[in-house]
Amino acid sequence: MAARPHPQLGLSNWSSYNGSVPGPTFIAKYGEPVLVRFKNELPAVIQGFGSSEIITHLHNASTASESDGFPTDFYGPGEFKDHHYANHPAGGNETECKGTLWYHDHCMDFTSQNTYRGLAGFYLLFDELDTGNENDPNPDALRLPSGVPNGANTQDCHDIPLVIMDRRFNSNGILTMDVLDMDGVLGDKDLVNGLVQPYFEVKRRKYRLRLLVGGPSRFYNFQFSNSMTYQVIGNDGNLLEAPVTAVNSPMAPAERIDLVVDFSTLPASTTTLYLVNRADQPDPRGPRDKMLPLNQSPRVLQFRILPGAVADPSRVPSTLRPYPPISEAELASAVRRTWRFNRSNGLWTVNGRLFDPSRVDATVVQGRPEVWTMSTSGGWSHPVHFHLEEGRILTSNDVDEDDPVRGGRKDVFPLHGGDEVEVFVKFHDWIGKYPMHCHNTVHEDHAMMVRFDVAAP
Amino acid sequence: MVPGSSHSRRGFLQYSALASGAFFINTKTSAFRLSDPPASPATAPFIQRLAFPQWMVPTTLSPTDPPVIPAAHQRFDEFLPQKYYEMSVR
Ligand SMILES: [Cu+2]
Repeated sequence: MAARPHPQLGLSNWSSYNGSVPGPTFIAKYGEPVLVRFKNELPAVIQGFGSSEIITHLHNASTASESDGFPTDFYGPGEFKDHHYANHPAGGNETECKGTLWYHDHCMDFTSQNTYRGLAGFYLLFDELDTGNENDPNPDALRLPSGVPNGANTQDCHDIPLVIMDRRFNSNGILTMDVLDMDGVLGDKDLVNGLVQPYFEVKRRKYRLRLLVGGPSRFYNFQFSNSMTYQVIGNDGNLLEAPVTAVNSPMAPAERIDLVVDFSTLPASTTTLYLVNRADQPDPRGPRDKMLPLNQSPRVLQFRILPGAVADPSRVPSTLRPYPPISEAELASAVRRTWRFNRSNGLWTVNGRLFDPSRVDATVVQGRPEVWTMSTSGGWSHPVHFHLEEGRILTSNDVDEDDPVRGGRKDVFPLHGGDEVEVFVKFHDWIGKYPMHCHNTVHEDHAMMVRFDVAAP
Repeated sequence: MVPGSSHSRRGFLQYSALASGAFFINTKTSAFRLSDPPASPATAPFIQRLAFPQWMVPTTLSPTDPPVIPAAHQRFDEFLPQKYYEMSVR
């Protein structure tokens, strides 16, 4: 598919879902299973970079192995694959419900190239608490700002998915990627929902912004240019137990932050505002500890604040969704495993080994508690992600485990040099093979991945 | 690309490097980075309205050509699809 992410850039070839970058947005509901037939209609030969083989992963979903998009389950042009998404909370437990998921390509060795070419989109899940209706008369409904834009139809839309992806273009303005760089790929243009530095007109009321860092390698640290506070209501897929007031949000590739910002608090004289990136990342190694000065931070998205007061029926309740409980007995009986994500002789390894899809690195028993210690000893950052379930951070040297945003329930665990994070997890519902990998997808493609199998009890 | 051959070829190279303990001199690591890639052309900021993808629209019928194979999916009958979608990757 040919598209121009900015009028001053050239017409680049992208890989797309249904001709759209990012792909179409799924509006899904718990209790409403769906089946998606992904038809590979790519050309047999892809120009430049990327593969004509694909396999789609629904990131952060509780999905059966055969529908999860294991990296070697790829298939070529003219073929299709049916993915069954049960939209069933893990273990049938309502506290396991999630909201902000995304789907993306996961083809062995080509995930970074295929997602760089555009194969990513949102999959939003709603349920009886997070109903997606700010006017919901049901007393249990959270009534968060609602209305997800449907293409150009943005009327009454206040629930805004935003995927941020950095990209680079050659002198002709054509999308380019250095596929020989094994360390990671950094762009110098920030794209929001596929366009370079767009603007967004907002009313003076609350908005729910669902930020997703689409990768491949860049870390962000988002802040509003006036340093206004906002309420973080979710991290990665799940809602927090209670909203947390924040000024900035550091994010690794594949992480999500679900926030509510209230533009009605701005003075009438404020007509524009920016979402800026304060992360200082000169190379793929990872972000520096110190943030960029606010006035030197790249502007990613402009908000144009429309004049006049408007009605706002939405709210941010003081309690959102409780976390699933973890008992002392579960902690005591948990199977413990160690995963070391390191650079070994210039290669990306887990426990000193490269990914081998035929090697089972761990077999976990369905429903049995596990505690996984994940660490990295080098100077590189690795956002670690495992499939099928979210984990809960028990201890971390880097983040306060009582910090619900960085230390709570997550599916991406950013490790920076010297970090060690202990994560509690139970695998429910499905059996079969799943991967865990670095979500700097360039590292992933260079084999920083393991396979774990879930076995029936 | 030919997946099988490229996987095994790259895998062979990587395993050889690991096994030999060879120091893989990658000129692209930050310490050795010789030069940053050329900058993208300049673009005027904030001249385009933020865009949104369309919602996925379900197909009216379940796929029949060829049909879905329930036995290929765990717990399919327990979680019978209520909506079917077709996604063209192109
Ligand atoms: Cu990594």
